[in-house]
Order: sequence, then structure tokens, then C-alpha cells
Amino acid sequence: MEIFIFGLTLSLMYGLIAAGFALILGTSRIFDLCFGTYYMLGSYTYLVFYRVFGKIPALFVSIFIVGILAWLIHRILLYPLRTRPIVVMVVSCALAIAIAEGITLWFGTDYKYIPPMFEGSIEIFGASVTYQRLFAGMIAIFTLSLLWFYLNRTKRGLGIRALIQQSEAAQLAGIDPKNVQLTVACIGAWLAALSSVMVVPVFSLSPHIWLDATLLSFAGVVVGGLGSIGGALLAMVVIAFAETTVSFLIKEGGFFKQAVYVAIMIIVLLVRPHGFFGKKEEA
Amino acid sequence: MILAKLRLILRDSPIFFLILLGVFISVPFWAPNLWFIRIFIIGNLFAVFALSWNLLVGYTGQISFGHAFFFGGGAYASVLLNKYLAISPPLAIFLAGLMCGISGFLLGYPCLRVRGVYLALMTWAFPLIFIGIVMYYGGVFGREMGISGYQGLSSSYTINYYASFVLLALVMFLTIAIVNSRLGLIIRSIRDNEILAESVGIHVSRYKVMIFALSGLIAGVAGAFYAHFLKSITPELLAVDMSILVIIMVIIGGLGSTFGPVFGAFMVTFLNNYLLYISELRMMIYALVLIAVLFLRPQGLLPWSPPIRFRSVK
Repeated sequence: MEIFIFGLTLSLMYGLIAAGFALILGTSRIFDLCFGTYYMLGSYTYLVFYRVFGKIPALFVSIFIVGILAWLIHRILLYPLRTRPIVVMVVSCALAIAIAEGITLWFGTDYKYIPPMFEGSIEIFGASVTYQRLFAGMIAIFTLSLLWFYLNRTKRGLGIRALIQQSEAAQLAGIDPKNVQLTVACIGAWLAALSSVMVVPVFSLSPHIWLDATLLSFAGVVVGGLGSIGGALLAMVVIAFAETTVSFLIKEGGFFKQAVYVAIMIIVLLVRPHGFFGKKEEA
Repeated sequence: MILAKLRLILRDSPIFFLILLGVFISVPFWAPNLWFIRIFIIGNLFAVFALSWNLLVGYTGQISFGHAFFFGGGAYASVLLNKYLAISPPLAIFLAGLMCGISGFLLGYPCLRVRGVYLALMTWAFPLIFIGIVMYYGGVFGREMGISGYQGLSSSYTINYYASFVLLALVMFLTIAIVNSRLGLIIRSIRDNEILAESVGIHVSRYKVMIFALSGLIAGVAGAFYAHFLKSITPELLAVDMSILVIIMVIIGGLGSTFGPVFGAFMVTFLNNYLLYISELRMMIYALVLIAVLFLRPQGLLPWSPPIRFRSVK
């Protein structure tokens, strides 16, 4: 039962990260390895600001800052390099490591404690669940439905979906890919930062979590299929349950967290290189 | 064969290479202190590592984002062989390289079915799984603390230096020999147009796996040597930083050239050691240099290689 509830809330929170990454990947076709960095920075900016502004405003401020940072990274570096996907991976990975080391310089390597947004816990079917997990799940559901509304019921969302499905045709119809890509990078970073502030109090915060988040979102996108947000969400359910199960069954299974992500990724890449819900395309 | 290649290099710009060779051979004589020789030894080993990555990516066009798997894997294999089976370091280095080659062969076969970005993602994953294993089986692998207390190759820096220099020279000649041979023509055709290569009758996957295994072997030997030189290893050898560092070396020096990766490796090693006091800023400097090189000089800072002779291919 604990596996079920923990897995469910975890998959909702991971779903936010994966949805953001799937959006970025779908519109721009680039693997932005900095994505985990947005996740990490979300928590660190929150850590800095919550003493100044209080919890709720700090959340918005950190999300806003991370969004601007993602916009800058994409505008200055990744957009001009977009035709060379491998170079994008190298540059963004180097940048991610550099930012992680900068954070280390500033805050130190030790694990930081982030106060949860909501205190207390509740008993559900014999499993003790903190309010933080519960509310994080609810906020994830709320945000994902907002995202769904944006993508399916607004004009800009229509443009994003068009660009995901048929890039050339969308550009012929007058959609500016640069504009959309930067917008989407911003939205993706917002989602990452939001889920970061929600998730990190449950786990712990150190500069190395960028790798976890990046691997997680990669595994989600690979399993779900390129450019498929629904697929990424479903994949996250699988991954979150796998992770929870492993950490319950194997003692000290935390070491295998990254290994679980990448193992799932490798298996899917071998069996179905284009994922389970993505359209087939020339790799 | 090798002598012919040597002549070929020397004929094209003999003075420069003689001077460079002289500088490298005489390092232990003019080096101001042991620390300087140490940097040169590490530089040699990183250059070997960079050449192995370059062989795979620069010439064959198959991206590996996790070459630290072979480097760190070679280091761990050699150290464990030495510590638990008491195999002498030179033999352990050789065996570790062989193990890396075999694992490259085994991993390469499924991996190289996917291409481009997906191959990069997949190779990225291997060292991370290895780290998971290292952390879990702490009794053998020593977790974050790594392993120490095994035999070094030699206590003399001079011997270590010459051994590493010979290794670098061997790998360099191997690269030049491969690139100039029929195999080189084949792998470059795979890099430039895989479908065309396949349609003229080249067994593409066989050559890809072959180069993958060879590259793994070279990287494994470099890693094993590195472990026996430093006399202590940590899982950092397997981390993403290591994989990305070799990529940075090769791209800064010049992807797909013979001397570029060596130059890049030495540049990064020297920066690494002279920036020890601001170690957290090192990666930022590399990232900035990398970005500057990519935008201003995409072919790399020193993309030199001996000219490729085209001969009739039977």
C-alpha cells in the first residue's frame, strides 16, 4: 500500500518534470541537458528567497527567475546551435556541470534542508503520508490540467502542438519557431522549478540532483516517445513505481536510483527506439 | 609499416615534429620539479583517452557520451586484479584493457543499433549504472572513498613518464595507421554516409563494433595506467564530468584530427593543475572555452593531422 501511494504521488510530481522536458524536446528537437539544472536551481533560489519573502511569494519568485535563466540559455546558446544536436548535448552538459559547481562554491556540497510548504501528515490506509506529498500531488494535477488547457484551448498552444507535429508545415503557416521554442523553454523551466520546490522537501537538496532530474526526464521522454506529452506522463508512472518498489525492496536502494532510470531507458531504446507513444522518425 | 608512417609524418613538417618530439622526450631532464613531470604523465594518459574517443567519434562518427565507463572501468578492473589476485601492475593494466575491449564489444553490439542522439543517451547511461554498482557493493569497490593501497607501476616518475609517453606514441601511430589503411577509409565512409557505405557492401555494424571495442580497449589501458600512477581511485573516474571532460578535450583540440585531441588533453590537464585553488571554477572555464571554440573556431584550435594518403583499395 505504501508503494502504491508513494508511487502515485511521486509519479504525479515527476510527471511535471517530464511534461516540461517533453515540451522542449518536442518543439525544438534538442536534448537540453541543462533541464535538471533548472530543477536544481528552482530549489536553491527558493532556499534563498523564502526567508525574505515568505513561502508562497518565494515560490513564484524562484519559478520566475529560473524561467528567465532558461530563456537566456536557449536564446544565447542552444537556439543558434539547434541544427547540431550532439553539440547541443555537449554544451548543455558542460554548462550544467559548471552551474552545479558554481552552486557548490556558493552553498557547499552538504545536503540542505528545505522546509516543506505544508506541515504534518495523515494516515491513509495504514500508510503515513505527509501533507507535503499529498499537496504536491494535487498541485501537480492542477498544473498539468492548466498545461492541458493551454496546449489544447489557446491559440499559442495550438501553435506549439503544430510545431511538435509538423515543424515545416507549421512554419509555413506562419508560426515563428524561435518564439515558440523560447516560450516553451520558459514553460518547461517553470514546471521543473515548481516540481522542484514541491519534491525536494520530500528528498534532499544538493547540487548533484541535477543529474537525477535530467536522467529522469530523459528516461520519461525515451519511454513515452519523442514529443508525446501524454506518453511522458504515463512513462513517469512506470518509472516512479519502479523507483519506489526498488527503494522498498532493496536495502540502500537509493544508490540504484539513477541506475533504475537509465536501465529503463536502455531497455526501451533497444526494444522500441521511438518510444511507446511517439511517432516513428528517422534517427 | 610504422616506419613508413613515421617517415610520412616527418616528411610533411619534419622540423616541427622533431622539436616537439625532442621536447617530449627530454621532459624529465628539464622539468623544474616532480609536480611538473606529474602533469605531463597525466597529460599523456588523458591524451591517450582523448585519442580513443576521437577514434570512435571523430573518424567513425559514433557518439559516445559515456567514455568514462571504459576509463574508470579499466581503472577499477586493473586495481582489483592487482589487489585481490596479486597480478603485477603491467599485466593487470593489459588485462584491464582487454576486459574493457571485450565489454566494449558486448555493449557495442546492442548499442550501435541506434544512432545519433539516442546512441549518445545510451552510452551516457553505462557509467551511471557502473556507479550504482560501485556504491552498492561497497565492500569490494569502496564506495565514495574508492580504493587505495595497491601496487603502483613504479615509484620513479621518470619511468612512469617514459612508459606513458611510449603508450601515447603507440596509440598515436595506431590511429595514424588505422586512418591511412583500408579500415580507415571504411570507417570514414561510415561516418560520412552510413547508408551509402552499407549499399556498397560494407558490413557497417561489424566495423562499428570493432572500432567501439578498440576504442574501449585504449581508454581502458589509459584508465588502468592512470589508476596505477595515482595509487588511489574514486568513483569520480566514472562520473559524468569525466565523460564530458574528454569530449571537451577533443572538441577544443580539434575533432577528427590526430594532434588536436593530444593538444586539447594537455591544455585541459595544465588548466586542471594550475587552477587547483579554484577547483569549483574549472568547469566554468572549460565550458566558456568550449562555447567560445564552438562559435569562433568550430574545427578546433589545432586540427592537425598528417595528410591521408589514398591508395587503391582492393
